[in-house]
Amino acid sequence: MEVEQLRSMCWQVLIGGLVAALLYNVALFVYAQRRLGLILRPKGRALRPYVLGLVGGLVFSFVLGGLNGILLTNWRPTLVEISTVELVRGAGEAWLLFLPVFGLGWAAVLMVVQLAINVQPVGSKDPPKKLDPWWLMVIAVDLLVLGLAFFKPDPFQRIVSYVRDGIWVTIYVTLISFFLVLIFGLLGGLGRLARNPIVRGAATIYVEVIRGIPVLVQLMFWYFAFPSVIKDLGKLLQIQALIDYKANPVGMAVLGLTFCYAAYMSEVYRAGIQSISKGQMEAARSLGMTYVQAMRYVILPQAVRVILPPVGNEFITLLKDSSLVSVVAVADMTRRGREFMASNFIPVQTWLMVALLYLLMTLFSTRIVNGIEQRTRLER
Amino acid sequence: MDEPIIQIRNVHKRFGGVHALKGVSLDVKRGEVVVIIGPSGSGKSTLLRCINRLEEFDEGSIVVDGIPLDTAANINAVRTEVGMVFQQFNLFPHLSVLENIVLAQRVVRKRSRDEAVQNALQLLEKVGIPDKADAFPLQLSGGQQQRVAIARALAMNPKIMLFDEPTSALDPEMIQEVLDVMVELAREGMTMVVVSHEMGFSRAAAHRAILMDAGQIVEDAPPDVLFNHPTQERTKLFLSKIL
Ligand SMILES: Nc1ncnc2c1ncn2[C@@H]1O[C@H](COP(=O)(O)OP(=O)(O)O)[C@@H](O)[C@H]1O
Ligand SMILES: [Mg+2]
Repeated sequence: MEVEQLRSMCWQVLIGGLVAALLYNVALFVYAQRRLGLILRPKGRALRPYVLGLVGGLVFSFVLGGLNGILLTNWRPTLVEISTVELVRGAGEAWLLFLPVFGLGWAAVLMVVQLAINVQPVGSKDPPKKLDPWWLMVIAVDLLVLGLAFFKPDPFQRIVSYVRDGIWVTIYVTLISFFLVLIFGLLGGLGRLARNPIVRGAATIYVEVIRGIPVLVQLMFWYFAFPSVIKDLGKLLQIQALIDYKANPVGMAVLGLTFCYAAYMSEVYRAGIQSISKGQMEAARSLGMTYVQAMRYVILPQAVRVILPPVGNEFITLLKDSSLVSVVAVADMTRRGREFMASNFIPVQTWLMVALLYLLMTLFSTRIVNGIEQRTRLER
Repeated sequence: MDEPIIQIRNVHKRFGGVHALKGVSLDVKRGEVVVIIGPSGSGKSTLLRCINRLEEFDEGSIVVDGIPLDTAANINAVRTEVGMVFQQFNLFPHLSVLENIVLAQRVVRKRSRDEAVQNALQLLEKVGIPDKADAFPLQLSGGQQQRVAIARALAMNPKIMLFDEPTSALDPEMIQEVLDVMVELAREGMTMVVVSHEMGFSRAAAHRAILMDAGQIVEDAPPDVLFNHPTQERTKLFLSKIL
């Protein structure tokens, strides 16, 4: 590969990391301080931890990016090379192994932030929480993946390279679905609590029906049955656009997962909102706030704290269940693994690696959810 | 101007089979302080909550400051004119004391942040806890929380304040600090409807006292008359129980 190309890749990794780190820190700051009423202390030095977290995380991602590049490609540099432009190559190659690199990089970011930030739940008398030892588990799995790929590049490095596209597919199918699930779940949850019996009835039927049908069957429906229904409808109405309709596998997978998980999520939201005492809504309304304002400023910020653990669980379940989309023509990690196995006949190694990659993602997500939970807790 | 600021006419309210208000009529004049007493379950809270429409009523009419409680827009208009203080304080636990008082000023009254904060700090001064602006509700004592709740309601510049047993959830030593704030408010000419059995407050501030029983107003008289020389048997009976 051209040095120029490598350099540009390296910059992409760097800038991507920088932007992500910045966004994360800003989001955390705004969220913690404004919405959740957490105190950041010591008060005057609020900026320093963010800069620290930013720089630390960046350096960590960069160095490990380089290291991963060295470890996981066939490139074996000399000492001199490492200190020169070739390091850029290492970092550039890091995108090969997005997950282990960023898993570790972000673990580092979060650790540094956690160490430095001194965010503490309101009214808590304990000293600020320092390091979450469970990150070690994430790092251990990360090292296991790296180690396997380093010491036995054949087949492990080949497997990872082969399922690489699948990792991306799994990540974005999960993230997009989850984003939509958060929105539609909220609508469903509010619908379940609506005073209007028609709205409430519709929401209830939706939730009950969806929860009674296996996810896999629902995915099959959206991919195979739904397009066929559309076509028949097109023939019936003589609309050419409908007759020509072809289902997009990823679109249908996202639709199917969203439709299903939003039902579960609406129950989570409902329980969360119901757990906030009626007096809160009454106080807000008696001050002249509308229902929507009261929800937005008073009820939901409190409900968020309550529902964070179950929402985190839903995310992790969704991440795992996204492997089901492999049966409806989506080339996710699981499907890529199956394809690899079919042409190489090494099931044990293949599925070990795929399992480890899933484990890495879920453990990592769990830690993040847990971290957010820690600092949004309200002491009662 | 002389027209009563609250006009309640023949209001009925049922909760399923329970007939909580049985045709209540009541006028409250501008600047008047009305105390409501009565046994538990007699409909005091329900009446109060009907005034700012936290509770819908089945029959009758209520007009507050010339605005009839009918359309959603009118109900919100009335709510911004009527402050309410609850037995359980109902402060927003996720917001600091200051933000509790600032929030509705910003989103309902559309005030600038500076103005809202200024106003909030002044009100905290007035209720006697200027140093607690950055504290969170759950870090405060009950009496302090209730005073914040009063400040929060006052921040909207209401014309009427409703108090539903504001001191019932407080430890005895904290009752007086809340009553002092209420008495001060009454002196300033605020129109107040107060459900409370605190005789001290009634003597110091009330213009009228009302006894409710079984969803009806039984007696309506100046406080010294109602407490010392009640005309109704039911009032005598009730007073004998609480005194
Ligand atoms: N939300 C409600 N649902 C059903 N019944 C209620 C409700 N609120 C009040 N009630 C009933 O209405 C009656 C009056 O209640 P309330 O106004 O709270 O009395 P008070 O405040 O004088 O103790 C009581 O019998 C009570 O049980
Ligand atoms: Mg009551």
